[in-house]
Amino acid sequence: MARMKFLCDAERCIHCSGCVTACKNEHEVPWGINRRRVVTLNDGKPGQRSLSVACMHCSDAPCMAVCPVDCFYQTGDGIVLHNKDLCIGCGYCLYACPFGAPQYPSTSNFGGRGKMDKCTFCAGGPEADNSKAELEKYGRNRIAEGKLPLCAEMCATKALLAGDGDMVSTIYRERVMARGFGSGAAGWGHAYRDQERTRERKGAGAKE
Amino acid sequence: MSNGGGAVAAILGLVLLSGCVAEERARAVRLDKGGYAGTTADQAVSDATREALRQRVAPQAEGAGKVMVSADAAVMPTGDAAASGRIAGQKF
Repeated sequence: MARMKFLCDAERCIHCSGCVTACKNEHEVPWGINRRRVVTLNDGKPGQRSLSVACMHCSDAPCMAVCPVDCFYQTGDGIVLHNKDLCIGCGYCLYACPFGAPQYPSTSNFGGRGKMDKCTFCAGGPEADNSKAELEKYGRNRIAEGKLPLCAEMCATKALLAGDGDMVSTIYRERVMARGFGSGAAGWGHAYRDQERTRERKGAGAKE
Repeated sequence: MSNGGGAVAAILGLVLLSGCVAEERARAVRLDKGGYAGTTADQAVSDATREALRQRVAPQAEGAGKVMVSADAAVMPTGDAAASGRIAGQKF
């Protein structure tokens, strides 16, 4: 049994927002909703990092715990999904979620909000796989087709990993062991640090 | 007489309040996961699908993880999102 997980390699993420765009396009997400977003830590300071964040499909999901109408369920592969027919749009899951994953479409000019929408790990919802109803409510179901979430598959730097948690952790562990700790092998630190060193060397040579 | 009644009511209120606080202090905060209230729910994917998903995540590794993939399967996924639905037919 697999447990599907996301992992964003902060050393590789270049904040291109390709994952955000891919998600919106693939699932035809309405205006005002971003199932995935890129956040920046230490903005403008040394050590700045970007991270792509969406629903993390928690093993012990707080959204499931607080939902008053029990509209959440977890598939056998650990993907947290919800039923929009049961959702009442109360917002408890948003308050409970540490990642701010639940989103609400604006349904009126007076702040009325509709049913909750969130990342489905490209696994749709409780409707029949790849049915029209599922597409309209939750977006495409790539998992049923044997495909991974598009955000991860489209990631240009392979910063965003998705899939069986065991494999994702293995890949990340390999990367960390290959590059050591600190700057990433394919990240900005690697790309520019060597150039800076060359420049410093040249500068030092000119002085001599 | 009315003053006496008021004092009794105040004392009674304080007793009740202290009782409430004690009850709250002893209350264990517990969140049940809750049972899914819907009629249908997705189950686990099939073994074949799970294997297909593993084959697609493996090429994301540059190291030993890639060895696990056969040469045929080690293709870079391109994503096959076709322009459809809301954006179909738009002229850019």
